[in-house]
Amino acid sequence: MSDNSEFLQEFIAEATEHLDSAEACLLELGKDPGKPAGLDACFRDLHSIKGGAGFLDLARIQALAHAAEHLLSQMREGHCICTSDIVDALLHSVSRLRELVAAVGGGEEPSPSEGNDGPDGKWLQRLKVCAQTDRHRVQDYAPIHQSPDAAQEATSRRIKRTDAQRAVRRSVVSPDALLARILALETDDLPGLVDVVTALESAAAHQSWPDAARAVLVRIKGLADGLVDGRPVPGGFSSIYSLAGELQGAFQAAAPAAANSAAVESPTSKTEPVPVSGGNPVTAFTVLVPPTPVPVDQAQIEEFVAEAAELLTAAEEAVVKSGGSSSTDIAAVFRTFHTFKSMAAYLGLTRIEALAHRLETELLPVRDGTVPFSPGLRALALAGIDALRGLAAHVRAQGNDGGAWPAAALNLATRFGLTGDGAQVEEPSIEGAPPIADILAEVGVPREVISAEAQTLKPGEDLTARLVKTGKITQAQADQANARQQELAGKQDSFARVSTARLEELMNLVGELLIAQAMVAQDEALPTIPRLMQSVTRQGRIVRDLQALSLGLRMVPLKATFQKMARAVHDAARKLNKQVDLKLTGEDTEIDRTLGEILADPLLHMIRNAVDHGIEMPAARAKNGKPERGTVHLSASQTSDQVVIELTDDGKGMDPVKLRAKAIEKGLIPADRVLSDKECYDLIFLAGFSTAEQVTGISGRGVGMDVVRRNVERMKGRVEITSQVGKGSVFTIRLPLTTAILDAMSLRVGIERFLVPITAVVEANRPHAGEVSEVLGQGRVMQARGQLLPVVALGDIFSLSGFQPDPTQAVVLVLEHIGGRLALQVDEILGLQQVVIKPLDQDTPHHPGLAGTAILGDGRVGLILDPDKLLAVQTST
Amino acid sequence: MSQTAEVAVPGSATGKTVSGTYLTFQVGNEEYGVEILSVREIIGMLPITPMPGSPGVMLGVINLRGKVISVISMRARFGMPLVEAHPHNVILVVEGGPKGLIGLAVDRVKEVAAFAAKDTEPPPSYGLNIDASMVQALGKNQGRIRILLALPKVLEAI
Repeated sequence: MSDNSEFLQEFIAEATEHLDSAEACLLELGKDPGKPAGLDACFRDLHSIKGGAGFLDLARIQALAHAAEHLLSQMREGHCICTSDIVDALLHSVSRLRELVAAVGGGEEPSPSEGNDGPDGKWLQRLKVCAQTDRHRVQDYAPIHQSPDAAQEATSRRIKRTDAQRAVRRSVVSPDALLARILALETDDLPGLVDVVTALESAAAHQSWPDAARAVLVRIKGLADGLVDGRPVPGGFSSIYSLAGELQGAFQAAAPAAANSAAVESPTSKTEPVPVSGGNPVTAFTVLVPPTPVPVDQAQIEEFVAEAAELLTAAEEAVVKSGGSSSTDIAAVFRTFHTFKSMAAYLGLTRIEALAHRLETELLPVRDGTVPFSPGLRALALAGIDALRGLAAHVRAQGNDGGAWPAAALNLATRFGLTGDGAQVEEPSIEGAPPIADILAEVGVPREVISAEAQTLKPGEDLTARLVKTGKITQAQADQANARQQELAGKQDSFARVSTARLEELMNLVGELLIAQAMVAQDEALPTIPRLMQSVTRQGRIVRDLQALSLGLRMVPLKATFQKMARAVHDAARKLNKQVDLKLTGEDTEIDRTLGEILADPLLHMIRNAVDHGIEMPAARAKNGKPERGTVHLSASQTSDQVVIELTDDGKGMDPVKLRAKAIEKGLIPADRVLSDKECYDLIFLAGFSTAEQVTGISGRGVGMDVVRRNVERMKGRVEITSQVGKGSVFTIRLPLTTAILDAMSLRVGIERFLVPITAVVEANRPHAGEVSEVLGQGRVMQARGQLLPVVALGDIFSLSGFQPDPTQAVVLVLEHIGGRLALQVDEILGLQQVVIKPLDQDTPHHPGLAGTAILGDGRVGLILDPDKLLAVQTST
Repeated sequence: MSQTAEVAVPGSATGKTVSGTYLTFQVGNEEYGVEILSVREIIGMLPITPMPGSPGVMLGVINLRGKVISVISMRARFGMPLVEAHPHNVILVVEGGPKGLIGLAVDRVKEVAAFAAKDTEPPPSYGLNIDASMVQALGKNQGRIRILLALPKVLEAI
């Protein structure tokens, strides 16, 4: 575990991101099942999680991600239609994966398997059932509450039936695709094996297979049956891999002529489907896929390249490490090539796919333990890694997999016979710059023209030169594009993960630097040395820029928080049988990291409330002439010093009169209290307020909104409500940009200085002799705007010495806090200043009335008061 | 630091002797030592902000390059009266385990001294001016007696 801990942290961070994005995709999908783009992204997310989990031997995560991935691939290929049940199952699996990932993060040892009865088993089962339910049998799937055995049996029966049907209905799956599936099987993935074997059998039944292949199939079937029955099988599960090799050999032997003329074998779904009509020899293995460039989404390519770099680095390390040929390292390398292959196949990067496939094939015997990991094979694996890296860079630069082979890959490609005749080394592309094709498109050359020319580009030929030659663009345009590419080189945004602890450290030091700089700048001797003065001024600017930058590091986009809301809306709407769309705007608005976390909870409450109480049932909406689908709009924007988050729903709105009546009925306000509309809306923030006639599972217990207000106030923010009966409600949360910086009033008591948040100060004055009166046994009180407030000396609260005991000689601040107001007596107000808050932790013993510390301008530590807690202490003593 | 191999289990608990390298310092008339590996740095006196609500042995908090850390007065910890500040006064910044960095305000730093097992003795059950549970061992070499402290016990005060 300790060896892996770095990988593990990385994995957890990545998996979380992938899960977030998968969840977002699934929610999209739920709204519009016909949208395949979301499906693809989601598939890739789960695939990445599976790969990562496999690498770290997290079997449970791997299994669940695999099942979800499989279901998604079934949906992608159209074998299974997207229903809300499936989306729901997938969403729950994502949640379960999240838990598992979190558990791993918490150091919980992942147990290899907990069978079908655990929480994973349930979802595994449901996913599998979904995957096997074809479009004509949606009603047919096994309910989850069925006993695991029965469900398992039902599933395997269904595998047979649906596969047979599928085989007839559409063209039969090509055997090489099935072989690829065998090779992709994780060790001891029995259901997966049964699945593949059944598919193989049905393929054999509908295709004319060579006899040798049928013979191998019988052995495969025997192996699978043996494994399923739990009989000891020679070679164990992994002998399936060598049998797959034999099967492949049998096919190749049967079609030697075609194979000889082939430059590339492509064992993927890209191969032509085998016609159902019997008699023809199986051609699946001999279909040539020439390296033609396939247009792909640039964003996907970027993602691929980024992921590729990580995979390759990990694989490289594993190869170098496996001097002792540890089986886990070899398996890791093998998996890398395999993952590479599937990612490339998915993106239509045929050359990468072909190369990765060959490498995988070369390493297969090593993985199975039949051949040792010889130095020769190690060299091959490393060469392969370099070649793939070169190809990935090539794809990145060019946007597709066509054109000349990059230098790094040429050697190996030639060795594998993947290059055509006359292949030449490509000019190294400009590192870090976007593909020239993109830039050309930017300057107005039509994409079709560019890609048409790019496809026929001779190795080593420059795309812009070609376009000029064929008269598609002018020389000036070409020069402009080339110059632009040069300019953009190295301007690519890239990201680094940094721990928050290190960020915190950086910010501490920048703060110190600021103070140290100020000490120099304010030195009395400085003005006498003009040259030094100049340098110090310049330095001061740099330090301030640095501070602004370091404070910006705390900011994160609200996107992650908002995406959680999408899930909440989906779940709540589904549960309540309402139709609700969530519209998100301003997700890129940045907010302090800590605020983002605290914000999630209140937002969740409010969103659920909006769906539950705000949005009406579809029928009711239709009756009132509204669209059946309700809309909840969550938006964020930034003003100069605030982040404004608005939650708008087009539901039934709130009636101030009803709210007031309800509050009176519940005894929350006196019956004769007159309230403005705004005050009526604010009633819902009272603890114990709920207008819901019925308590639903989602909301209505009256605990939500008071928590919302408390949380928002904790963030020094405010919530406001406006509403219109029949039209909907708007909840507005205003938050400070950051909690890190506080506008504070600095105070003196004796020789000590304190800071109080400026937002808490209502007024400050020096009371006249008559305004403060002594109440027998209760200390002093004073009149402030018609209210009688207790006067407390800060020096007394903190048991300080040497402070001014006479209020008429001191300053009294009226402070606002959650429970009301308080008059705080201090010696002097020193001024206003902005400070960076450093929270006080439990390890530093302190008075509860202190909220934190801040470094003052002279480098000393200042203490920040917490008006809420000051009072709590004051009333209790 | 319990991880260091050469440091044996505190003598007070097992009756065994202790060895290791110690940073020694003076408080009042006595010389004390803490394991050198637990000392992060030695800084001159900084302005200390008293912390309301903290125990009496805690002088307050200081700004250690942007980090706010607590400072314990060793005089107060040993039950001695506080005295006027002196230019020799320093703060030893030590690793307080789960408590993070903690400053120990001492009268002055003396030296770094190595103690072999033969140089140390279990703390005596009487005759010490300070709480015996804080004492790991007595270091006797170079003709002097140094009181080697058990840091976790010292820090228990806050």
